[in-house]
Amino acid sequence: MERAAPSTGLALALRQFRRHRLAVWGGRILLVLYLMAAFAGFFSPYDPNYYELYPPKGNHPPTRIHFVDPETGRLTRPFVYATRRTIDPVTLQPRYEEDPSQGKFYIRFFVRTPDQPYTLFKVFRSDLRLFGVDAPGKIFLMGTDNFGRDLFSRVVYGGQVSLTIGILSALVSFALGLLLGGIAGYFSGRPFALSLPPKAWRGVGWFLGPLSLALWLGVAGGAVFLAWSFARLSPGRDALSFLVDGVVLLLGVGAVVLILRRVFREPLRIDPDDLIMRTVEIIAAIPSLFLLISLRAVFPTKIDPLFTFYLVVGLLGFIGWGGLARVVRGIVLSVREMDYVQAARALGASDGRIIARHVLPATASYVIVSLSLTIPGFILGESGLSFLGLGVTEPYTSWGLLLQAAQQGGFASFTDRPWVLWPGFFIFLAVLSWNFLGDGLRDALDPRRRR
Amino acid sequence: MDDKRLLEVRDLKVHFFTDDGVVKAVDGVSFHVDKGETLAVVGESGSGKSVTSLAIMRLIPTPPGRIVGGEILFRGKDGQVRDLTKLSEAEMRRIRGNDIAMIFQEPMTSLNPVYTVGDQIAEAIMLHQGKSRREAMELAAHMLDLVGIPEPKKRLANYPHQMSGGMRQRVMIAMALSCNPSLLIADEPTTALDVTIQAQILELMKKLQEEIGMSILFITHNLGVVAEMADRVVVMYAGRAVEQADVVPLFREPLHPYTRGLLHSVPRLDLAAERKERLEAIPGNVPNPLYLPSGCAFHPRCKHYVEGLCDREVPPLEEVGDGRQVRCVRWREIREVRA
Repeated sequence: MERAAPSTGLALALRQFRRHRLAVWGGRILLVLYLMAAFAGFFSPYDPNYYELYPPKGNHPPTRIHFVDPETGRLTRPFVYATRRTIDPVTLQPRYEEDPSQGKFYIRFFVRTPDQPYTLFKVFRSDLRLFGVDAPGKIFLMGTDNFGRDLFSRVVYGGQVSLTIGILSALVSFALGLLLGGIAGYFSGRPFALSLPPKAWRGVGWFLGPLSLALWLGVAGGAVFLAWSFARLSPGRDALSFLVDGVVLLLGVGAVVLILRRVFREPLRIDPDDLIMRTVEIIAAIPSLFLLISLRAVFPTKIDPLFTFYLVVGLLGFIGWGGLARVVRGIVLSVREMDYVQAARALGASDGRIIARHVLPATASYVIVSLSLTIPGFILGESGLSFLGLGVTEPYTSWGLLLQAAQQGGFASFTDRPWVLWPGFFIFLAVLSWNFLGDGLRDALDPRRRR
Repeated sequence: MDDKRLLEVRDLKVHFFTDDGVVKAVDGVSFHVDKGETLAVVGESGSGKSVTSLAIMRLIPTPPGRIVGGEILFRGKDGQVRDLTKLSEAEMRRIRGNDIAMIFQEPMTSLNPVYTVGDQIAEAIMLHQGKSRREAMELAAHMLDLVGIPEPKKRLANYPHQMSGGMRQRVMIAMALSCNPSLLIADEPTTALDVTIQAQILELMKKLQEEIGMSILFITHNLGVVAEMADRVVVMYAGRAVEQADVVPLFREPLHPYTRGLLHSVPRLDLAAERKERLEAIPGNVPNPLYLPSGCAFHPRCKHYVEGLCDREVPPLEEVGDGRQVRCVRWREIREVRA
C-alpha cells in the first residue's frame, strides 16, 4: 500500500535530469562561464582596456606556453618568452618573435597587479588575479586585438554583457508574457468596462465612471484637434481646399459625436483576452530589427553605453513577450477549468489566491524550459545587434562587439589572425550549453518523457 | 424564515445567455433544507440540479450564466439570515468553505496534483480560521483521521496520485468539513467510485453528519443512493422541480409520471424475478434546453399525456399534503392507474 520511494516531483525530475548527459555538461559549462563572468577581474590576467603604447602589441598572436626547458630538454614549470615585434616587409603586418634573450617568464598563480586594480560586483576592490607573468613578459592566451588589448581578458569581460543580456531580456519578456498571458487566460470571458455611462455610477463607478468619461472626452478632443490642425495646415484658400477642410472638420466632429453618444448611453465592455491577444498580434507584426535600428538612431550617441545596454535589454524583452503570452494564456485557459480550481473556489479562495497557488505553478515547468531555450536566442540576438552596431559600445565589451571588431579587418582577420574569432566560439559554446540544458530540463519536467 | 430552516431557496432562476439563445437551466425552483437534514435533488443530466447547487455557492460562470431571479436565504453560523444572491463577492468568499462546503463528482481531478493532501486541507483551514500552518496541519491530520484514513500523520505528506479514488474522495470530504460547515453540498460524490467504495463513502457521510450535525444537499441521479441517504427528495426535470416529498412516501407512491418512470427504470432483482419483464425505460431524451416543449416539459415522453391539456400551460406546483408537492395536472387520475 505504501510506496517505497518518497518520490516527490522534484526528486524525480532531478533524477531524470541527471540521466541526460549533455544537459549535465551544458549546466557545468554554463556554471564555469557564469563564474568567469561574475569574477571577471580575477580570471582575466589584464584589465580589458589596458594596452601599452610602447612596445606596441597590436594583433599579437596567442602566447606560446612552454612546458619543456630547451636547455635541459626536461619538463619544467610552464613559462613564456617575451616577444619582439617586427614589421613584415611585404604585408606590412606586425610579426612577433619569441625573444629568449630576455629570459624565461614563469606563469605564476594568484598574482597581484597593483597597476591594474579591478572591482568585483562594483563594490570590492582588488588586484588579485588567477594567473599572470612578470613584466615585461606578457601572456595573451587568445592573442590581442588591434590595439594590443588582451583578447582573453576582453572575452571574459564581454561575457558579463553577453551572458546577462540573455537572462535579463528573457526575464523582461517573461515577466510581461506571464503577467499579460496570465491575465488574458484567467480573465478571458470576463469583460471589464472601458467606460461607464452616468447611469451606472453606483458603487465603484463614482471613481471609475468620471475617469473613464474623462478618458473618452480626451479621445474625442484629440479627434477634433487632429481635424482642426489638418484644416489649419492645409495650404491654399480656394474653394476646393475649403471643401476638403469642411469635410475633415465634419468627420472629426462626427467621430466625437459618435464616441460620446456610445459612451454616455451604455457601458463599453472589452474582454481582456481580446485586448491582450490583439496587442500581441500587433507587436508580432512590428518589424523589430527596423524598430531597433531606428530607435538606436534616434538615441543620442553621447549617452552612457551602459544605458544603451539596458535599452537593448528592454527592447529585446519587449518584443519577445508575445509568443510566451500566447502559450501561457493557453495553459491558464485549460487550468482554470480544472476541477481543483473549482474546488478551491468552493472553499472560498479568491482570484489572487487561485492564480498564485493553482494557476501559475501549473505553468512553471513550461516556463522554466522555455526560459532556458529562450535565453540562447537572446544571446544570439545580442551578438547580431552588436554586429550591426546596435548593442553595447566601447569601452564596454561583449562577445558580439568583439566579433564585430574582428570582422572589421576584412578577410585578413580570418587568415592572418584567426584568434580574433575566439568570441564566436564562446557564443557558440554558451548557446549550445543553454540549449542542452533546456533540453534536459524539458525531459526532466515533462512527466510523459519519464522512463 | 423558520428557526429550524438552514437554507431556503425561493423561486430561483438561473439563465445562461448563449449565442444560440437563453438557456433556462433553472427556472423557478423552490425548496428548503432544515438543520441536520439531508435533501436529495434528483434528476437526469441537464435537469438543472448541478446548476442549482452551483447557484447556491454563487459559482455560476458569469458570463454566460446569471442568477436572474429568486432568493437564496441562508442562516450563517452567526445565526443571521442572508440572501446569498445579494452578497458581494468578498462576503460570499467568507461563506464558501466556511458555512457551505462542497464536494465534487471527480475525486481524481478535484485535488491539485502538485500539492500534498496535507497542504490542500490546511489551505482551507488557514484561509477561514486564521490558524498557523502547524495548527492547520494538526487539524488536517485530525480530519483525515475523522474520515477514516489510516496513519493520518503520514498521509498528510502524500500527493494525490499516491491515493486511490476512494481515498481521495475521503480527502475531499475532510477538506470540505475542515471548517465545520453547516451545509455540505455533495454533487454526485459517489458517481465516479466503485460500488463497494460508494457504500463506504455514503456510510462515512452519514456518520459524519450525525457527529457534526450538518445538513447535506445531495445531488444525484442514483435513486439507490437517495433511498440510502435522503430525508426528503426534490425531483427536477428541465430546470423545474416536478415533485417534492419525504423519501418514504415518494418511493412508496410516486405521484409525478416522471418520478414513476425514474423508479421503474431502476433495475430491481426482487421484482425482475416476479415480473419477468424487460426493464422499463423512459422513452425519448431530455429536451433541448433551448427549445423546451410547451406546457409540461415532460409531456413528449409521458405515457399519460393528453393532447390539449398537458401541452398548453406549465402546470402549477400543487400542494398535496404532508409537505408534498407535485407539478402535474393529471396526478389525481394517474394515481388510480397502477403503473
